[in-house]
Amino acid sequence: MPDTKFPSDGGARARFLAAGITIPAERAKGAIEEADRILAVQFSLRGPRSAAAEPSNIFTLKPGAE
Amino acid sequence: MANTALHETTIAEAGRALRTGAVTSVDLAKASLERIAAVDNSLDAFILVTPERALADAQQADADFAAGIDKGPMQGIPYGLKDIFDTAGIRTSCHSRLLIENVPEQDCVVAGRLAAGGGVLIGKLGTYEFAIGGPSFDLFHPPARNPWNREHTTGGSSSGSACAVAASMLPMAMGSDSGGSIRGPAAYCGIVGLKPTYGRVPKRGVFPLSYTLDHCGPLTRTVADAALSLQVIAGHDPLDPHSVDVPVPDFSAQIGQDLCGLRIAYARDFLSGEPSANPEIIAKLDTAAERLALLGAVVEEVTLKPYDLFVACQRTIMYAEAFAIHEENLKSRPMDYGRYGYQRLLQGGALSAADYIQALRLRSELTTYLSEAVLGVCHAMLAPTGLTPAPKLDSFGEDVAPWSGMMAGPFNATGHPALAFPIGFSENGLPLGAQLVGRAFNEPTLFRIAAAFEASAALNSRRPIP
Repeated sequence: MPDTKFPSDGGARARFLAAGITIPAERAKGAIEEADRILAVQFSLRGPRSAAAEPSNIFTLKPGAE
Repeated sequence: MANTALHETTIAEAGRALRTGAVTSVDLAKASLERIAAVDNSLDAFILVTPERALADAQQADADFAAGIDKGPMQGIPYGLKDIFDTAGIRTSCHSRLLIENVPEQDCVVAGRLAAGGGVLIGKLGTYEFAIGGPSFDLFHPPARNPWNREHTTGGSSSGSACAVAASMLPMAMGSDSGGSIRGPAAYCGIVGLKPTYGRVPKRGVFPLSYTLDHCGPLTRTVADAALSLQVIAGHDPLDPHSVDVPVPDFSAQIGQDLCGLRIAYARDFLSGEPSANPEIIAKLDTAAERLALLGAVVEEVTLKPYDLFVACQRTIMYAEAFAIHEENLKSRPMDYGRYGYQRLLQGGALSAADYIQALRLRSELTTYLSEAVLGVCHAMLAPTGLTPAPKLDSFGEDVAPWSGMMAGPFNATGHPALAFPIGFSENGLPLGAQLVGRAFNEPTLFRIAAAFEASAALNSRRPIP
C-alpha cells in the first residue's frame, strides 16, 4: 500500500463551490458526507512513483490510411 | 423439460426443445409474458414490457427454425435489457425522469446482436437511476424487489434484470457492471451474473456510467446459460474504442470438465478486515473453497493488497467519469434526479484532476499486480461478492449511505472477468453468492469451475416463488 500520505482537506463543500456546483439545501447533507468519504481516501492513491509512471491506457493513435 | 414449467426453462433446455420442435418460440414468449403478468405487479422488475415486439420476434424465430435457419443459442429465447441499453423505437429511460421521453433511433450493439441472433425481446428492466444511486422510491417507477423476500433489495444497479431472472420471468437479462452492478444483484437474488473481461462485449449504445469501468454482461439462472448468452454478444466492435479485437472462443467448451489441474486462489482475507462480514458468508465461502478442492482443484489462500486500496481507486475513477457525463444536468436540473442518484453522481465534482490521474496510475499497478502475482500463478481466484445477504429496503436512509456490503469493485478497476454464482442460503432464506475472477479473456475457465460447483452443490432446485 502506498505509504505517502496526502491528507484531504475534508472540505467537500469548498471543492463543490470551486467546481461551480450549488447543491440544493435539502440534498446537501448526504452529498457532502459522501464527498468527504471519497476525499478521505485520496491519500491512498498517492504512492511513490516516478514522473514517467503515467497511466498507459489513456490515449493511443493508430496509423492513418496511406 | 417435460416436467418444467415453460417459464422455468433455461436457455440450454429451451434451445434443445426448440430444435426438436417440442416447443415453439411463441410458446416461450407467451409463458414469459404470462409469468410477468402474474408476479411482476409485486416485484416491479420491468419498466416496460414489449409484448408486440416479443411476439413478432418469436414468430420470426419460429419461421426461421421452420426454414432451417439457425442463428445460434439465443434464437427463439426470451430476454430483457436493463433500461440503459438503447433500443430502436423503444424508450430507454435509464430509470430517470431526465430521459423519460428518450426513444433511441438505433439499437445498442448488444441489443443488435441479440436481435440478429434471433432473441425475443420481452421488455426493459429497472435499474438504479443511471446505474448508480440506490433503491429509490422518488423516481417514476419503484425499485425492483427481491423475489426471495420482497421486503429486501435486489441490490443494484441491474436490479430489474436480477429480479426478472430469479423470479423466472426471463431466462436471461442483460445488465451492466461498473462496480458490481451485475454481480451484486446476482448474489442477492441467487443467480449467475457475469462481468466479462473489459473489452470483450461492446458498450456502444449503452448509456455510460463510467467510461473505463463499465462492462455489459448477462444474468442467468445457470452457468451454462451465461456461457450461451456470452457467445451471442461477445466480439470486437471497431466503432467502440474500448472493444478489444481478440478471437471469440467457444465459451461452453470447458463446461462439464472436472477441475483437476487447476489452481484456484482463495481471497479469504478480503473479508478479514471487514467487521460487518456476515459469519454465514464466511462459512459458505469456506465450504465453497472446500468443494472446489474436492472437485479436483488445488485451492490456496492468498493475501491480496488491501481491499480498500482497490476500491478507492475504482470509486475515484467511477465518480470522476460519471460527473463528467452528468455535469451539465447536475448543475442545471438537480431536482430532476432522484435523491440518491444526485448525491452519488455529484461526487466527481469534489475530485480534482490530479485525484483522477492518480487513480488511473494506481489502476495500472493494481492490474499488473493481480495479473502477475495472483492470476499469473493461479488459473482463477475465489472471492466474496458481498458481506451480507440482501438488506431490507427500509434499511436505506434518507441520504446515500457509505458504500457497504458489496466487494465487487476491484475487478472493474483491473478489468479481469468475474463470475458471480450462488453458494447457498442464509438462515433467513436469502441467497448468498461468491465470485470467481479469471485471467483476462479467459471466461471459459470461469464457466468450467462455476459449472462444476453448480452441478455438485445442486442449489438450483430451490426457487424463490412458485
